[in-house]
Amino acid sequence: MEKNFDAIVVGSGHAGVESSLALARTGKKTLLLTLSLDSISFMACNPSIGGTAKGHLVREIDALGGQMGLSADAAALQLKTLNTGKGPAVHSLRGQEDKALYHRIMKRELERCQNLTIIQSEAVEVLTQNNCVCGIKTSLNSSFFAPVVILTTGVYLNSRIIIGEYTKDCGPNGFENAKSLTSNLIDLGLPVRRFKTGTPARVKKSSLDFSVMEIQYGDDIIYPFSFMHDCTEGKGIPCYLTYTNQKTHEIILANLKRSPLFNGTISGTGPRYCPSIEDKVVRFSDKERHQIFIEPEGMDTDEMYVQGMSSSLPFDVQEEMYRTVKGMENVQIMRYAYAIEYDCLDPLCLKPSLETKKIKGLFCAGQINGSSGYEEAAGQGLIAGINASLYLSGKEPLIIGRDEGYIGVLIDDLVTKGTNEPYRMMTARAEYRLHLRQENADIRLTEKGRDAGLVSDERYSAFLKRKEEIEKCFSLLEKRVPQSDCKSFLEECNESVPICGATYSEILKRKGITAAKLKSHFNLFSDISLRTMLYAESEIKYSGYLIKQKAQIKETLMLDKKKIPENFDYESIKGLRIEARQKLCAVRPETVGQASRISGVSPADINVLLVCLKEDKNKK
Amino acid sequence: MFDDTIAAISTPLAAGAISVIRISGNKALSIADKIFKCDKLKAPSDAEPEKMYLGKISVPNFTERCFFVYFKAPKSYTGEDLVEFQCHGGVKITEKVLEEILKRGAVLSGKGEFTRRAFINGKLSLSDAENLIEMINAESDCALISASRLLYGNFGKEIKDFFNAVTDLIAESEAVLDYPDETEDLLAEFPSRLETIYKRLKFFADGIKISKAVKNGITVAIIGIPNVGKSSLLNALLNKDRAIVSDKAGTTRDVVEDSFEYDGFKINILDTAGIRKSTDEIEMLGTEKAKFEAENADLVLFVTEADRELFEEEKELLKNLNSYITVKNKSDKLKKIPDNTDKVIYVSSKYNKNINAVSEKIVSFFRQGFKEFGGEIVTSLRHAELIKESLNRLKDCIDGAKEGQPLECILIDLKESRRALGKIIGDTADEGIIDAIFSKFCLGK
Repeated sequence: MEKNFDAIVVGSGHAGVESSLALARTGKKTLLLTLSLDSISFMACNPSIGGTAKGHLVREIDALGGQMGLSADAAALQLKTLNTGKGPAVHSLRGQEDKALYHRIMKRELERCQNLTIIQSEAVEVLTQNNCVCGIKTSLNSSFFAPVVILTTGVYLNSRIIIGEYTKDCGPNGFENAKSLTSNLIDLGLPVRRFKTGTPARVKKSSLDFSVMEIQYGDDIIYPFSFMHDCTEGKGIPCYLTYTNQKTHEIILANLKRSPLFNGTISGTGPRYCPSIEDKVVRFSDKERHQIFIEPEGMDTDEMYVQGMSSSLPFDVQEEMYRTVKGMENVQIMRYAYAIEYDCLDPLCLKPSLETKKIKGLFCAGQINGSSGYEEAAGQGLIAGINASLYLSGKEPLIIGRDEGYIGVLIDDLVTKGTNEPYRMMTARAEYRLHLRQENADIRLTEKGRDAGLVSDERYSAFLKRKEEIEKCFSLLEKRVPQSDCKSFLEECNESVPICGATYSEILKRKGITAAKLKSHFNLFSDISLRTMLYAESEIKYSGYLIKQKAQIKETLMLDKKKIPENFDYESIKGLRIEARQKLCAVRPETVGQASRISGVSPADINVLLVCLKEDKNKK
Repeated sequence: MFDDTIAAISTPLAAGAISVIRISGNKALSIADKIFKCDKLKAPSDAEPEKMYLGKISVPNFTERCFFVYFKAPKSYTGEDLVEFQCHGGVKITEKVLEEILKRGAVLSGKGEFTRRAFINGKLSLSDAENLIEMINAESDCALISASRLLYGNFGKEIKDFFNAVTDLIAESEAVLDYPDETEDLLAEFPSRLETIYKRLKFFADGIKISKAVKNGITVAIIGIPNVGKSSLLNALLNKDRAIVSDKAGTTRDVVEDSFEYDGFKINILDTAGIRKSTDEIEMLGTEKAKFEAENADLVLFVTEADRELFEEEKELLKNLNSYITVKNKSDKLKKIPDNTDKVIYVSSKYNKNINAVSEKIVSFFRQGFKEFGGEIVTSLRHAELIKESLNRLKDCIDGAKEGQPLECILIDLKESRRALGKIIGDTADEGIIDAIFSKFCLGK
């Protein structure tokens, strides 16, 4: 059996899959080790991909040449754009996904991929030599060798599931967990910590009464996740909305002492944005009801996911409380809700390339870095894969700026600020939100993916065509609307008619005029795709604010360009405050910009740093 | 290298023959273009570097004759384009000019900022680095002390309240954007809450004129017709012979300025030329200046003589004064000195009688003003600038909301508004917004 590879990826979840594909597709001989082939791209929690900010991540992954968007489109049960009542920057695509299908598509993609070997085996030790990674030892006591290893262990490290008084050492959904790797990571000097998350019950579709719930379809017409896929039609498979009530809350409160969250059984830190139902009821006692979404898990199954009711209460309490919800009076639970605790790393031990600072060639991605969510994991997995590949080729890593993509915000937040809870992406975290839209992700990132060697010729030529189309679209928009057409169109839209006429771009700037309306009314735009029209609409409607943000970006970029030497001696700087010195030593930022975003480092410290960097340079 | 253009008064903020105001950065010249006029130049941007030009600075309400010098990058102190104005000495005039420069797009320089830029741009030697670091830290320590003092004072509490109110509004808006399923009804009151915060902050900002006086000193102008003893009152208050005193009317031609401390307050006192109708050009100029100082002072000491009623021209003069105290000088000429009232004090500068009562009055006049805010306001031009910035951004939010701009756009200005307030209380960590979102709302699956 072949023992030597260019790279080894440990874990086949959403991060591991992207890492493996990125390495193999860029010509690196790659080994993927997984605890179970049946858990490849397994969606352990909700049966959906995308949503606010996460939809942006998927589009970015796609633009860079990643896999998630392509597979999510293929396995979608319904697609819907959220937030359409607000501006285009916060529109987010969300897809209900067929879990089993998604897994099969991804597994097939891996199997078909050249340069990629997949083996079901547990990694127990990261092999190193002189602080450089050199391979992985498995539980079968066999060793594989490679100058690059990517750890994407998800929630499998020493994981334990908890249902009330019942606990079990295993991974999600009863999958086997990884028992030995944690102690090895500690031996390597990596900072290990414990996080917690949870998932609600899966219930049987035929035991629910949908007639008393609100039915929710997907959009009629939609652009899917991948820029390689065209506009599609179809309402898809519906979801259902119902609510908890006072009775539900009473049962929860009466059984709190049996909740592992409140009686101390669970010690890991859980995410605030994904609270269990008991957490919600206790912390927001004045809220009379909480929303519950019933979502399909797939086409070939009767299992339904109960979004909004994740819990770690004992199974008998779960049955009692689920049955109080309208339409769930006779609910049959097929899998009980559970909480899961797992080991992960403090991401401050990583460089922005996602390589560990301590061990050369060792990269980490996904939940091991303290994040949560499939999309967050996939984004990191892709970047770790790309950077591992670039590292093998002796090239500079790909660092996406905070002004270039949500992936950049995600990684910069993790490696600069660290996180005290599983980190979820939100549009609120992106300071240049207006620039980071899902409809322009290809414009922002395709060139970078091309440089990294992941964007295929097919994708690249489609991209060049789109750029041409955008240019054409803007030149058409600068034309003046024929007087008579202008009048009839604006009157039809209940808009005032300008006396001296207007350009198309001027009328598109108005709130009441959309790109779709413009396209359908004027033949001029018949050759321009709606996707491009939507891009133009955002640029035009946001123009004033975009200029404002560009000025801010310029300011930030200046500091981001100032590199700090890798072995810069913070201890020798007398002027730095103790807290700042400690933080800077811990994070070891790569640029002054990164340093300025560390909590506890003041603008005065940055000034001192700038002076000392200058001095350092002058000395040399 | 640096994106913004900075400005500051480079000479000590006190009376002196001249004051120097410096502007450094790529906008320095274009700002000069907007405010400086000179016969020899079409515009300052045509100026020959390192050459001095005489001209006028126009600021609303007055023009100031001054010298202008342009230092072209990199041949300047900071290594950037640098403009220097040399004006007449005097706190008020210089501050007005600086304010005008800030209005035109410069930002107020932090202490040591010019030197820092000079260093970064390679204009200073290495040995300067250590001094520079000390200076940066001294400034920030000072800011830190004042920030921590702020937190205990009412000013800090007020700012913190505004900061929290803005943070809450941002957090709620962000929740609406990131959790559309669960939060639709949160924003019904967005515009009215914005308006409320704006109005309250505006009211607060308007009160700051008083508090600025605490940090930079209370500016008091001595006004009166010629020969009532204004200069001798100045000398008595300062307890030194600062101004020339004579019996001849019109001895003081220009503004004489100095400062002294009383009960912890710095009082900047300005002696002005006697105000009267005249045909003498110099005397007329002096009268103009006196009126200008009276208008811009925090408080006016109106000096007259104790042994007579007010002349008609004095009554005329009083009509144009806002806040003033009447000082009846030469009380030694009276047989029996009346009791001081709330607004009138009897003194004799000549025999140094009752002079402290004047100082006491000045200070108590301002203490009354502070009571409104709890008597402990410490603020500076920097704070006032930041509050103004915060207000302007809030105004942009309100306008944006009226125009129907989308929430994510309005939030850009709202966050800038918060950032400005955060700089005052030393809090800019953005995690604050995320924390507020989750502490306030029940969100997530």
